[in-house]
Amino acid sequence: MPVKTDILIIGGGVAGVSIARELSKYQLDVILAEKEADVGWGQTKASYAMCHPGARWPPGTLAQKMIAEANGIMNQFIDELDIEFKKTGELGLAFNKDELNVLKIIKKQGEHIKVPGLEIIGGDEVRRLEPRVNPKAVAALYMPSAGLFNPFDVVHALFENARDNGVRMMLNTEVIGIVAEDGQFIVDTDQGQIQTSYVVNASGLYAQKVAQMVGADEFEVSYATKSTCLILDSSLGHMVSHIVNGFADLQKYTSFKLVMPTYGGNLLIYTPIPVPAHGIDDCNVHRDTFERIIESARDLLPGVDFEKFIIASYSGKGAKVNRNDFIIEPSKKNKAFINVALPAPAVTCSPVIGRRVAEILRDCGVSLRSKADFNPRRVKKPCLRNASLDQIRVLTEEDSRYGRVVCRCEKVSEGEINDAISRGAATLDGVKFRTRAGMGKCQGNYCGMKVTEILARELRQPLKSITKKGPGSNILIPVDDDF
Amino acid sequence: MMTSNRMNHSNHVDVAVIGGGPAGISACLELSRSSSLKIGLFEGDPDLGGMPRSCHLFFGMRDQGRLQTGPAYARKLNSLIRKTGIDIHTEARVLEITSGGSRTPHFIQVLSPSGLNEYQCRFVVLATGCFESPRSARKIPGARPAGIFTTGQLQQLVNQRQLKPGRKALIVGSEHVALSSVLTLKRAGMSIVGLVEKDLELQTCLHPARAMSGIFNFPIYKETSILSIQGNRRVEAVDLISKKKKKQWRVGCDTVILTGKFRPDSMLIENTQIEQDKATLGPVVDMNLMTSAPNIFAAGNLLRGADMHDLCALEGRLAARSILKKLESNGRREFQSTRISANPPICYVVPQKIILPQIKKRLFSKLFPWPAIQVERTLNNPVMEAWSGETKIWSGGFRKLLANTRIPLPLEKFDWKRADLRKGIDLKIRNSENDLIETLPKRR
Repeated sequence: MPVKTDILIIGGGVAGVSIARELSKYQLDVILAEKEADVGWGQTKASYAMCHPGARWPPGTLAQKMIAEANGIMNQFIDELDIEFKKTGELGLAFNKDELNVLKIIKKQGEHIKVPGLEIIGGDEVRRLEPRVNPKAVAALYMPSAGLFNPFDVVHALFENARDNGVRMMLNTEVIGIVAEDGQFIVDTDQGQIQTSYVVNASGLYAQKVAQMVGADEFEVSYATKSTCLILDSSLGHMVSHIVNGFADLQKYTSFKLVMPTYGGNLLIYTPIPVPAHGIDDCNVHRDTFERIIESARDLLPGVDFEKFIIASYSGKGAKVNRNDFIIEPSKKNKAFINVALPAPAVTCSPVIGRRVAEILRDCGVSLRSKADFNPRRVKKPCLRNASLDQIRVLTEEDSRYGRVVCRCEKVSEGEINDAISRGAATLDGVKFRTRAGMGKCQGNYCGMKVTEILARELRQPLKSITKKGPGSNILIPVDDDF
Repeated sequence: MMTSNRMNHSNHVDVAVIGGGPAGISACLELSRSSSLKIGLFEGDPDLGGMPRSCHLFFGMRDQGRLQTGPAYARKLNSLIRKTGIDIHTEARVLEITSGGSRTPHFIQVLSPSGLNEYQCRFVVLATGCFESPRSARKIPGARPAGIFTTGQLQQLVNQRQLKPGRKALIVGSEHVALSSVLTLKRAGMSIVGLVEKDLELQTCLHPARAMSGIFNFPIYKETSILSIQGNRRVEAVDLISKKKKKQWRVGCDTVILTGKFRPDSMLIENTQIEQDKATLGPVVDMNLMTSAPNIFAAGNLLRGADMHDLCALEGRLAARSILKKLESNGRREFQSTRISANPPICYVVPQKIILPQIKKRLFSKLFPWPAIQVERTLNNPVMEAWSGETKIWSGGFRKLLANTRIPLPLEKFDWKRADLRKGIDLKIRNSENDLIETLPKRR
């Protein structure tokens, strides 16, 4: 017997969980199916998590419209869900007149959607704001409303709030096939069948593949190239206080190299070095990219020894949708099948993605009756690293596990790890992305086994079945011949 | 106001020792042996002993005068310190240090399951040790699956928990610790598919490495680096590239062991007044092992990354003796001192501050805490020079300088009369061909 529901969301990236949270406001039965062991592990994980003011997107696009809407309600969104967010401002640098002219165009685009505080500033002012920036920068577009998220926290906040408001979450559930019959969909997954009236296809890189299952692929998702970010040690975390970027291509001025602080106190450097991707799963970091990214970061911050402080690297696909804009629309062939395909900046738009999908569903005839007991708030427990000494004192008095530091680089306590597990972390990466345990200088060298043991204990599983990121990624290979 | 408030809350110790490995414990033992100071030892783990707990090689030569296994050595230190009256705090993580001055106390915040406590202390010994660089710090490309461990993790798994991480392992790096990982893998009954070293030469003693390669039947690939780690979930294979042979090939394995490339665990000194050396990333210390903050000392692998545990133990003792001397002299002694720094291919020099009256001819300086350097790669027939401003105050030729090996400096041979102490000392290495051209005529 298939599981029955009103709406099935396929994909638990930032789009999927945003939609789930919005739909959880209404008297609807909603299931979210995600093929991985946790949410946000696709494109979302590899984003650099900037909150874009939107000036860089061309006027008239859906993306630009949604960025503007999202920024309009950002404060409320951040507050309701207690999301880790910091407003830093952004400096788009110009090293010559041509670049300055492009910045002026961007400024105009931004003013069109009322981005607040846009200003072209001179070289001296740039150096006053960011003393380490390359002195060759002649001017910059200052965008004070830009900020940065903890991208994992955005996804987890939406996921937890949606779940608390009744959305059924099916993790480790991959959609294999979809059959449309009698105004219903029968969706085959590796965990059994789901019968649903509506499907929201928010499967990111897989959106085209999933849409093909019902012949609703009226768009193309391409992922021919991938690019890489490097994360540097927290001792470089204050090299810049703004998001600093410069043009990376000198012909079209459409791509950017980037140096920015991260929410967790690290420094992130990125430059678009498109390396061919071999298939949809290929997130390998290419061997030349380390040097090339460091080289271009030096163009922005010349005096910094980046090389010595690299602690992590990750690649993501530069996914493109063939219409060069967001796609959020019902399929022309089947109005009950809604396609959501979002190239960057989906994280910025997370406050409004769900709303847009809800409007489409209403237009399709779904009645959106508000739930009386909807709770918009997510309550998060405090963490050691952000707590004052007095707060730590209170925390440890209430629960002694907060006094046991497990990850020494990021000061993560056993209490926080237990809390993350109770909120849904079931893997080493799940704990890491929720608590930062293993995200520091030693990258889990010290705490990896301790976290694995806590997972085994709390989930009541044998140590050998604990994984890094879901089935097949066991920390210890289950060998029968123990010594 | 703030201070008086603090006084009410704080506990008091004369010396706070942070880190319960060989360096920290040895500092405690020395202090308790020769004084009646109130000492507090703070260790983050549930038990004392530090790294030797999970190693199994030869321990205790220089400080205990006998050979034993790592765990036995750790137990020995443990039993010695438990006999003293020192306050031992385990599972006690020092969150921050607020440094005072030479006359004002320091404050440390210590978190443990029993709560957050503040300690007021006259002296601090930092002995937090080091860790092996993670994968991205080594710029290893490829996928990011499970199955990549450092030697430290491997040893914890195998030697402390009796767990087997996989079946077939590739070892990356050839520092001494790589040999330890060979033995650990063998102990766990795993097979070794190879040992990869980027450099032209192995970074450890050649003979044991060759012997192990023969006995345990694994190839050693020199001048070879990792092109890519394969496998999205668990390591499936590693693609290697050889510079010399200009070839690429794939080695099947489910485990990768990253060895060496240690860096100091210097979290506590970041963003404090304690100066951090850009080369070592540890604190800058003088020959008494005092940091730039008065009465805060540092010892052991925190100074430079891994060296032998028994050297760390001796450094712990040296820090302790320096504290005792300082107390005797009542802090009035001023020393003539100068900074010393190094240029590539020298990685670093530690201590970074030379105290001139302490320079004496020392026998066996290799075996004792003494200013020493390490070089980036093995150098044949190099000439090392010490400069003070524009003046060369020493030069010396070597047949070979081994990479990843501690090389003591013959400070007693430096022409200190010609040195300008304000300008400091700069160490350089020249290559031998240049040197031959310059010096051959003189020799004749």
